[in-house]
Amino acid sequence: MHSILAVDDSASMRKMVSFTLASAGFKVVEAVDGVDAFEKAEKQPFDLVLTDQNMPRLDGIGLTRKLREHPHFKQTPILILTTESSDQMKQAGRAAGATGWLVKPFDPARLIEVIRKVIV
Amino acid sequence: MHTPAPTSHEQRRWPREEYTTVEALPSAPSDEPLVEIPVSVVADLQDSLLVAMNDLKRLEGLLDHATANLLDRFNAALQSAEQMPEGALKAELQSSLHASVTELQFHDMSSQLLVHIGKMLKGCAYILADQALEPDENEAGMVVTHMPRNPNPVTQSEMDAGSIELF
Repeated sequence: MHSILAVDDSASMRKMVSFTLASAGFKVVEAVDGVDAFEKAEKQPFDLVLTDQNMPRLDGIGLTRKLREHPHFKQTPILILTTESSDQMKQAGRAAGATGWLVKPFDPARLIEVIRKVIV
Repeated sequence: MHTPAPTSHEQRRWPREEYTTVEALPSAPSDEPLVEIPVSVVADLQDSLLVAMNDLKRLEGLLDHATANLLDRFNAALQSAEQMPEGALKAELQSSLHASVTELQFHDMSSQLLVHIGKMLKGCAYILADQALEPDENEAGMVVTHMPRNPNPVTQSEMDAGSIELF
């Protein structure tokens, strides 16, 4: 079973993401922001990271940058799921090493489709 | 955040620790036209901004409460659907619940919008105070920038699913 680290400071979004991923057969670990996510990522590997962008303490792009410096996450798909849709932000995500940029709200079927496409 | 109602023009200034950034006062352009506004009008505007900010906080609270209840009911419906005998009705119910996940993300987007609007209103109130009211001794020669540095993060006006871009 593939494991996914789902990062969002919104409890309702974490619930929606976890429900969607668990329904599709993925094991989900939740994190409340980038710092919490990085701490969890240091303790165990994940097959994919799905992260929000705007979060306190450490945002999604910052988390992506930190994870890419970690030996276990150099190749791990990292998807940023956010309300932000500007090209500037997308380019910043890409430069940080993100695998893809998903604009909220997400459609459950399309999210699962994308995850299955990029997951190793 | 609770902001107490001001009792005088001077008290309408927010505590300094709430200021977002402080910069040196730039020299004003000499050709910029000036508009005179009575202090009482400025004070009324600030009061209205405070009321609007407090209303936004209440709206945020209502949304939080409603969303928490809605998600509890969503979970209960999921569990009930799970226990139903296999068949078309169960499949239809589960499909509808899954489809509602897109719309149930309204809380996150609404909250971000409310926070941004609140910051804008607060910025307006600070700017009014800075421009129209006498500065404190320790504020002389300084200008305070209160508007959010980043643009509104939520540009969607509908709950249609957003775009997906793989790099």
